[in-house]
Amino acid sequence: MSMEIVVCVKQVPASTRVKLNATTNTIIREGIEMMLNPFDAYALEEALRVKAGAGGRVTVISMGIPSAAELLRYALALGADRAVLLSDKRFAGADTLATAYSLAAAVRKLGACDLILCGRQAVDGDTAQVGPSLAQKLGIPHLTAVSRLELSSQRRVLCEKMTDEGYQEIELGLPALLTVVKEINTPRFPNLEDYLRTLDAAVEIWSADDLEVDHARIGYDGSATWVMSTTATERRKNGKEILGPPQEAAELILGTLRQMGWQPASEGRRE
Amino acid sequence: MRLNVVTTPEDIQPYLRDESSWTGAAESVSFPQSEDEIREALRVYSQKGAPITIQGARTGITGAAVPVGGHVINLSRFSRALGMRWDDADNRFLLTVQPGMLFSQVQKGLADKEFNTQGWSRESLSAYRRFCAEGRWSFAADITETSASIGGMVSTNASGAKSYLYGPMRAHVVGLRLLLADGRAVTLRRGEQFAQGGFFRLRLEDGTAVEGRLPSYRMPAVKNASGYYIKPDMDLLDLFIGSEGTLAVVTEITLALSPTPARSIGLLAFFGDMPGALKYVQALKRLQGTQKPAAIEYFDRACLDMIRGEQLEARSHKDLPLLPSAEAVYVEFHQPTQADADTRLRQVRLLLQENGGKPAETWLAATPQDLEKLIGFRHAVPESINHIIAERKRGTPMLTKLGTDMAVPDDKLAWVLNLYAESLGTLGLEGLKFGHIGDNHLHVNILPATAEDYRRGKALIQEWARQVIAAGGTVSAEHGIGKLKTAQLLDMYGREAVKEMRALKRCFDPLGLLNPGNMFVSEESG
Amino acid sequence: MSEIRIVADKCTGCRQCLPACPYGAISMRAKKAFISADCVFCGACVPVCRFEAIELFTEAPAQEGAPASSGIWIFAEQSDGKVKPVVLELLGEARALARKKTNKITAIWLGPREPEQFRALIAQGADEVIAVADPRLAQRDELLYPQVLTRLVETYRPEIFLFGATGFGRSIAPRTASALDTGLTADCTRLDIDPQSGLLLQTRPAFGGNLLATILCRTRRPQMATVRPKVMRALPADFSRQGSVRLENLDISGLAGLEIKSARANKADSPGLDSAEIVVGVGRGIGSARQIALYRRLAAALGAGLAATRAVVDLGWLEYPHQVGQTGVTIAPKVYLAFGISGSVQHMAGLAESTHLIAVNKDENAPIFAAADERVRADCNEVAAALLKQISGESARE
Repeated sequence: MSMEIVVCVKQVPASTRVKLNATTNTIIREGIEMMLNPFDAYALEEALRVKAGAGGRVTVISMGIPSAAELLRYALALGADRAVLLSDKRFAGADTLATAYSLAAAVRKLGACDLILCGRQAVDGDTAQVGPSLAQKLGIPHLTAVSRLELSSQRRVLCEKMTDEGYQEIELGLPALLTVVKEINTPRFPNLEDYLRTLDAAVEIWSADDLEVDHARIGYDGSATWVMSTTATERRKNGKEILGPPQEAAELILGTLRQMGWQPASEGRRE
Repeated sequence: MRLNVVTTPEDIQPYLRDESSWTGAAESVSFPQSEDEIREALRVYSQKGAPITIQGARTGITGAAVPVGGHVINLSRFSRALGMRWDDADNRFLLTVQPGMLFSQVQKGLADKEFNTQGWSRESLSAYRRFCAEGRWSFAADITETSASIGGMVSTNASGAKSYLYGPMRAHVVGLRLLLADGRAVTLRRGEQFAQGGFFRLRLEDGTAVEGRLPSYRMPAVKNASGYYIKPDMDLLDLFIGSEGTLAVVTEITLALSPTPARSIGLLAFFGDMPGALKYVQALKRLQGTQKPAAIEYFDRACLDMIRGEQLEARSHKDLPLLPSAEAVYVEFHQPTQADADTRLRQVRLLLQENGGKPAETWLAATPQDLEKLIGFRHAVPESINHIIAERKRGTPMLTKLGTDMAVPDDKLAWVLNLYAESLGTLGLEGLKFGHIGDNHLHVNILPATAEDYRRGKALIQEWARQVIAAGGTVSAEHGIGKLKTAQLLDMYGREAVKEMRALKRCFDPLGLLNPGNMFVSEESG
Repeated sequence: MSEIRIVADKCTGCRQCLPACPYGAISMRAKKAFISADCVFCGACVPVCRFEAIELFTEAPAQEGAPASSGIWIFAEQSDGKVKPVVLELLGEARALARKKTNKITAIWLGPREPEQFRALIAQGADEVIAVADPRLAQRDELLYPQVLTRLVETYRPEIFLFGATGFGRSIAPRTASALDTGLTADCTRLDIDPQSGLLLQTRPAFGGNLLATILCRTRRPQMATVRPKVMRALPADFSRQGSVRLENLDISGLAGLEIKSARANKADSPGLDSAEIVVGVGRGIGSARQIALYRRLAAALGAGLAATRAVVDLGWLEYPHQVGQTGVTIAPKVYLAFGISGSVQHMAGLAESTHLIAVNKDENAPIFAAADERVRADCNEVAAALLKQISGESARE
């Protein structure tokens, strides 16, 4: 059963550290190093495993700035077969709705697709919204927080899904979209041979003109939400210092716990 | 100025140990926060004639920071960055810090471009602004235990994996401020004062001088942290680096920074047997100049089997794919551009193909996150070993880890690897070999299961030391001598040389107050 | 269309804007700042320029005003027929919002018919409950639920629709919002009504918790948001409150659902984070997976929950249900004992502000110390072991 698998990946800042410029009270983002969204690495790894088992093709797709092509080449080095970058100023400033709309157009352009894998959330936005939103736009079922997947028979996939209470086993018909969590696998390293082989591999770049989209629904203009303001968070407390060797520190900590109402289990039993 | 001193047993207790198996004794511990307070502590406690032990972060594993009675001067509160300068001559920034500052703190300050600049001079602030505005700068000295103090790194001439390319601590220190036991001081810069024909005269800031003869021994031509660094016409700054606190108290260190490499890549290659891995290593070592790797590390099959076993138990290392059961060689490159990095990769592929390696099964870490994972693996090896020992200790309390820190000259690398493997096999002892193979410096850890194993392992290590010394190697390539390896230092250099080392110490510390027991025992008990 | 430009006359070439750009899109050309095509108009550079030399035009596109809508809807997520605690928190918050702008508050219930739960919803602040009581909705189904909710929204046109940011909520809310082509803000920690526009101000952490962003959904309706559990406050139940219950007659037989074959609860050694008053947290600073046993014993001895940072979970030392933070659960215990945790904003985002934080860490520069109520600079494993010894000693003495 040969599978056409699409993996959606995102390039995110490697460091989400932020400093506040004390003079201007504005945010200075430190470190403009970019990396593959960690959850997406797990999605890509799972796609490669499915391909290894069932045969087929893995296409990696991303919406981002031109330098994200490097990331996609890295995905090719890991074993993906095709890489497509949606890059266009007109995509910029998109919220998750406009992003899902654009990605849906791209997936449709890719043609037949059996399985779409996404990381659960991107570590810069942390919304976990694009996956479900994309599935809706494509009219296919989705499952979030998948921790294990297995192709069952004829275009069905058996999934283990993490819920708030535990796990569920759910069977879905394909095509379907799954967002995955880190429990699902351990991503591989690229090997030297494949890395060198794909050094000059082509990453297809699609602009807004290459897709069948209503330009009023993409990018900043197509977004339903708008960031009004951002401020830095700061948690500061004037804490008390506990000094001394570990035994003393432990005594003081126990003291605090007692003050807050803690009792050792046996004390509670005293009548 | 109120020097903070503790004298009760509970308060002193944590400061009687470092990361070695030794526990010492002391009557008091002080925590100076200024040079004046250090001087005060020296003054007060030298009057009592008792030993004075200087401590940094106590991460050493040779007992150098373990006190032998008397007073401890703990520098952990003396840990600020003091200033920065732009060095026009060498196009780099210089950073001056107090000895208690941790290596990790320096790295973090540089990476985040954030230092507490309170009290910095105008010149320093101007350099700091320039440093913040452009470029990325690192401190290129490398150590495995990043929570070590800069002062500790100076005292042992610390090194790590990347010292293969960047050199040990010595290569990065351009200045020290020193306080002698009697309180006299000097700020010494590299290139200012030299020995001449084995005779030295160190001019101090009060106009007086310390003079004497340098020991006449020749250091082995290997990566070495045993005994004083001695060369007949040496820069006197180097006398103090690696002197394990026996000559003076270091109160300021000026470090040279270097531009952060633009591209770092790591490769973990697997081999079926040790000779195969060694061939690849020798090929890597022939890469020089701009092609020279930043590090070449080796892990034998036993190391990989150990970590692999933990992975299969699914208890940790989840971020790493399953390791194969094989010998492993890790090589890292720091290159100025992506194109250069790619060229190195092509070279390595060729070297692998020519030396029985498999490029299709070689793991490539091309992103900082992936490099982190491999660092995690490399650090896991000694950690796991410690754990195994801790478990065995429960059944047999007298057991401890038996580890070596020896390095040999280039042409003896194959010989020493065979020596280790064969003798362990012959005696039926369990051992793991790993380390900085680029510097011909491997740690062998013998894991005794019984008291008998322990006895035989100890004897085996002594035999190795004998052979390594005879082959022109060293007993301690990076950990230093401390109090635990004084016998080995004696074996390595001989009685006369150690006498000369004592004489050298007497020039600076006539009463023998500073860190007695480090490197050599003092004459009275020796 | 968005547009950005450098006003050459005002630009002094001071270079302050270069590090402010998260995408590295600003460089220098001929001593003036230059913004490349990598710019995504995030606006981070604009306030950084002291000379106001950066002009960003992000005009809202010409759109009709927002469609008519009214009422605040709360998705009353149920598990086994019982409403989830976060729903009560949302009701409390909705009542606060209703004080600023009059709005009817409706709880939307999908699931079995549970009159007692409906009464509770009204007691906790709902003016109305709309329930779709089809047996197919008994189990939470992330394919079926959004279709039902979409139909309800299209019928009743609420102005605001809030969901708890539970795992389930974070799956159905985006699907529903996408079907309605409206805006959704995830993981809000604060909600408010803008006095001038009457819009819902949705505040959420971004960039791993380092930033707080306030977001508007200007012209689409409903304005949708998912809200972090344990951040808002439920009101005390007032069973004298009046409210109505409408059993919606909706034929969902033609709607597709999921095939849920089985479900199982978390393992016996569950983290116990949900209601624990004391939580023991472990970070990378504990050193290795082998130390976890010590902390399990400590947590057990204290009757505490056991939490972990993302780093610890990523390494496999503890399972994901233990993870507290921006990704992972939010907790609000009375006391949090953080061992070997550096205090990254990512992790702290999962900890309530009100929690009494005791941080134990060897590194005196660990950021967690700035947020801690009590700071212990020591080896975390030594302190944990000492603590365990003292507790066991005390219990033994009883």
